[in-house]
Amino acid sequence: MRTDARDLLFQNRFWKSFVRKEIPVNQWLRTKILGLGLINFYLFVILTITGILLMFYYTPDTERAYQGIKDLEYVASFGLIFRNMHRYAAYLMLISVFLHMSRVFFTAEYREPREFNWVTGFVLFLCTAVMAITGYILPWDQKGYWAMTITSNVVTSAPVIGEKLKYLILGGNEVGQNALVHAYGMHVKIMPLIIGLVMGVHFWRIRKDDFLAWAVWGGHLDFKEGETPPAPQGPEQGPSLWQDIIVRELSKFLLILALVMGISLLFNAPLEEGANPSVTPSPVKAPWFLVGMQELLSWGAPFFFGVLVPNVMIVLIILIPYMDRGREGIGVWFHPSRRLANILFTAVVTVYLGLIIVGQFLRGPGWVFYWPWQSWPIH
Amino acid sequence: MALLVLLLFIGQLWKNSNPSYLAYQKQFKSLLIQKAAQKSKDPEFRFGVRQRWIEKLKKTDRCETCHLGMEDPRFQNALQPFRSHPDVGGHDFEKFGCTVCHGGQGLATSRNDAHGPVENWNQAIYHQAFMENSCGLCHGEFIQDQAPVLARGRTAFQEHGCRGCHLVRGKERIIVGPPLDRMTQRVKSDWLYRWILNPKAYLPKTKMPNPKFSPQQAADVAAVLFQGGKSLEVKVGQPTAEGKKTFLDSRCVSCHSLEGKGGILGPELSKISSKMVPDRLIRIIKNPHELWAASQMPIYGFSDQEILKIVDYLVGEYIDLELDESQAAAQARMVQAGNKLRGKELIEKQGCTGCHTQIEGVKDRGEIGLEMTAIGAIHISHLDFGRIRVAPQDRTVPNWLYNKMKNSRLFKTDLKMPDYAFGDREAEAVTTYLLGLKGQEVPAAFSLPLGVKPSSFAPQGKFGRVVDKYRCFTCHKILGRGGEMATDLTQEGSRVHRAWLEKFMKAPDTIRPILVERMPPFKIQASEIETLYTFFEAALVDDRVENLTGTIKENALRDPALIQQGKNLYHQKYACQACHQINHQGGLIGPDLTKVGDRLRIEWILYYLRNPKAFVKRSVEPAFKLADKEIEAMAAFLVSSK
Amino acid sequence: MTERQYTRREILNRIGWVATFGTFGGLTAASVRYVIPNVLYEPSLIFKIGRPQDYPEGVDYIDDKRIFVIRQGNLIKVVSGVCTHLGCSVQWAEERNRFECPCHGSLFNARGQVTVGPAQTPLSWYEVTLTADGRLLVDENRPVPFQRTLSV
Repeated sequence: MRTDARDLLFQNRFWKSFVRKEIPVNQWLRTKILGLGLINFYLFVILTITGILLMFYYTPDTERAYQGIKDLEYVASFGLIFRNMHRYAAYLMLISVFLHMSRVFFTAEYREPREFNWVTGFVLFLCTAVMAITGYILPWDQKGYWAMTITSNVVTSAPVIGEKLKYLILGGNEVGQNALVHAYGMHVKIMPLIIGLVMGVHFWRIRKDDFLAWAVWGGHLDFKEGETPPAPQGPEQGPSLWQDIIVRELSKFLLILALVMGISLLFNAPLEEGANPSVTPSPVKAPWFLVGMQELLSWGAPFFFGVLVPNVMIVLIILIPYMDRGREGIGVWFHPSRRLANILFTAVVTVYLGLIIVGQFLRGPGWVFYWPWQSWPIH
Repeated sequence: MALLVLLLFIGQLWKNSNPSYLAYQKQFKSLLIQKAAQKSKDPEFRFGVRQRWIEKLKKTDRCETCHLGMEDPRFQNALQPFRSHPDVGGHDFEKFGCTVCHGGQGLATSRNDAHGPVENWNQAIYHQAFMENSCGLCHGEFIQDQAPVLARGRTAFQEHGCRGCHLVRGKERIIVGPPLDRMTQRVKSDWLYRWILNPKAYLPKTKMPNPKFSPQQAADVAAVLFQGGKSLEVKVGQPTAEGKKTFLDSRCVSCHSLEGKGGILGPELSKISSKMVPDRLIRIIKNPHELWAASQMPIYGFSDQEILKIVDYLVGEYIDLELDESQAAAQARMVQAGNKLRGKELIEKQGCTGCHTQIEGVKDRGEIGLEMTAIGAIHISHLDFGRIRVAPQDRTVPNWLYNKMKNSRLFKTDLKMPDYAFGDREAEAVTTYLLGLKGQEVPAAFSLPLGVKPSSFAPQGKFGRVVDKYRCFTCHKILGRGGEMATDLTQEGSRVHRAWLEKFMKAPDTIRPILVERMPPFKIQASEIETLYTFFEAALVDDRVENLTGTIKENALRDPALIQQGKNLYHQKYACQACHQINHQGGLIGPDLTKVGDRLRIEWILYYLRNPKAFVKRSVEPAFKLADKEIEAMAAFLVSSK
Repeated sequence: MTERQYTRREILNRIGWVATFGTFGGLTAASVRYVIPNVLYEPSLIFKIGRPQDYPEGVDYIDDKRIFVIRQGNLIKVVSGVCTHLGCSVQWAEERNRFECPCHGSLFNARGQVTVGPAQTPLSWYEVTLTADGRLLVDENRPVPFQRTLSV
């Protein structure tokens, strides 16, 4: 009866093809890692579906884009809700991608044989950021327009190719129709394709590398070449437990869905006035995930802060697994042997978060510093 | 877990199914059913957003979603939002939509978002007081009675010389104030000081705003202006009865006011001796155009003797009773001691050259104020409320403009714009006009210039010189140009006899008893009258009148039976004496008809009786639709009076 | 037969599954509703034309809406002027009492029925009603038989 229905649904080759051998189900169930990676995937699914729906009402034309968003807000049935879901799912995804990366770092999951997966994962992180940036400009409102202006200007501080890069990105000299079409194309056609491909590689690698190091090694740390993992302990895995995994993941999906919907019901996605090149709001801020960079840039030396530092950081992060070849502490949170690495990472993260907080909340008109209790001078 | 999601989903459904306009629509539907109940036909009602898409104007208006009774005359007395729209006279909703006139956010379907003011949408719905501003967008600069508030605002804008300091592309910059050179030959220094300090104290109706100088600053500015050589010392005699008579006979009060009573074209005269030096008075009466070419005062042609008598009278009679002599002397000394350098700085900073030319040593810096070409569409973030705390929902462009007009230095302390002290009504009118300046083009299909453009009639040659000398345009209209105080002379050649004109010009008598203003007795020469009449006869005629020449015979007009018939018609059937006088008997509303045959040509009388409103649309004369025979009889009677 | 006791857990579980699939189904339904437009950026198919007195006896063509307004005494009808063959605008030939299409020669009689020509379906007659402010309202969403008229 009940079990049969579930068996039918889940005890089939489709689901099982995700794993190569018997998976250590009990380990999975007892895992202490929140499954952030799969949460990212769920968010991606939500974003894709709501994004496709939004495409029915949106035109990437400087005269019609804003109107399309207003139509969503006022006229399309459920339009407001889908738009809110899309926006907040995107924000959540940025956060959760970041958390996933941190988690992987702190449990040293990137070590052999998973170095390449770390790289693909970080590429996905960058892709998510690009999606967020290109999506931000699409409503063609003041926020998006000026954010794009700033972003495209930051690019110019790259040596030699800076100006040309800006010209390439904008499809011209100014933020206008071409820039919008480029952003739309990237956001809707090119990037999802790339993300899909890289995600596929990421998942394939996960499967190839036997999932979680923790699950495989069960917290046992040293191993010598050629050794096989210890036999799994605990209650026997049976067919019924595999369903439990599916259900559990499904419930996680629903949780995420609920979270996104809840936020969408309560808060409306922001929309400022239509883009107006002759009116620069003060202060004009990049989207929150980039405002840390903006804060950094406000200290001066655009090349150093805008180009050198970020690129160096990116390269370093990608190379982490190739630099850290240790053996200890795989799959364990905050293993003592990794203290230095952990501290370094935490420090970098804290600094960046701090920059975001300063840039988002403590900067007022003219990029002057304001404490939260000080009121900004309005005209 | 799944339950939670389900609940949330239901929540979403709820939120979507309950847009605020639905409540209004349900209300309307029930009202509609009520109204249609009398016709026993079930009305069809479609729920949902109603949209009008005006492609050419790039506007999308969803106002009808709630304002459902807009086009339905049965809802004339309903409460808003269902009330039907007043007659729009050709401005079809389908062609124009709503927001092009009313402002607001047409895209929205909830009340606050649509009406505003709301964050992130610059244009809230216009308050009723400012509604007319959108008329100018399509109907151009010259719309008049159809949009009276707008017309008043435009006139105020022009008369107060706003264009002198504020750039409006497409409008010519006209300097409205008098030139300020050679002030020593024009006015007294203490008067100048008092005037600069507070213009309205001397002349309440002046267009000059108060620059709000401190006393020392006023003295400095006066010192700069009070330049230009010494004026002639003139011995002023005692006022005489003769002088008074000449003054009164000349009918100066037609244009000037005395203690508030009289004309409005010229300045108030009751304190004139405190203002002007006697030499200036003499010269201004002799030749008003000498020191100000744009002056509207005519050249009278008095003899020097007469002028002196008049000036004696003026200086003796029209003094400022409240003026303290010692104070005046002290003020004169202040001006004497004023700092010219500081004064010049002040003049330049204050922008006096926006209204006055010829200030010695000061160059015109052009338009120093904010550009107004598109002030109606300006973004609110460009307007500074300064030290006034304004709630966010009141931060709108109309609010800012209105308050600025009422008190120009309200928002900050060191602003330059002087105080015009507009009252509520004037401020509303000017704000309406300014809001209409949107700097936008409308598609050609929508543009329909209305109103009458100012005439460019500028007579040349001998006729032009005569007209210029006596400033006929100040009071008369000819071919669309001129004032409205006196008759329109556009058909004068068809209207009057030459002999009468000659007599009249030498000694103008009363034509319309009801009017206060009289034509002043210029010392006009015979050759000048000749020039005038030649031009009238040649150009200022109307063929509709001329074609009636010869339609009636001289003898026919003298037929006593016809005259008697006309008399009966005049007194009994049409009772013309209710408005017209003959030999001091009758009403005062219309012109005096005593011996009217000497004045008016017979062709004119004939045409006029047939069609009184042909030339003056707002003529009070009723259109009686007289039969031809009656017209002849009346004409005979009228020309018979001797 | 033994009554099988449903545990609370089982019931909750079942509710949970129903809710889940219900939500997914609901979201799908919402998406479908979402995709159906509520407003159109096109000229409306329901529109007002002039007052009845603006249309004299006979056949009058309204250019930008491509319809004929036909008045016979106090009866008014509205017919589409779009040829049912390939969409050209037909013309009314007064002397021959028929509509003629200049593109491929289709002929329609005064009732809009096809007499000759590649066209196969008759011209559509539209419902016309009188609005509260005295104008004629044409509804192209509602075709009516040719006999239907509006009396004014």
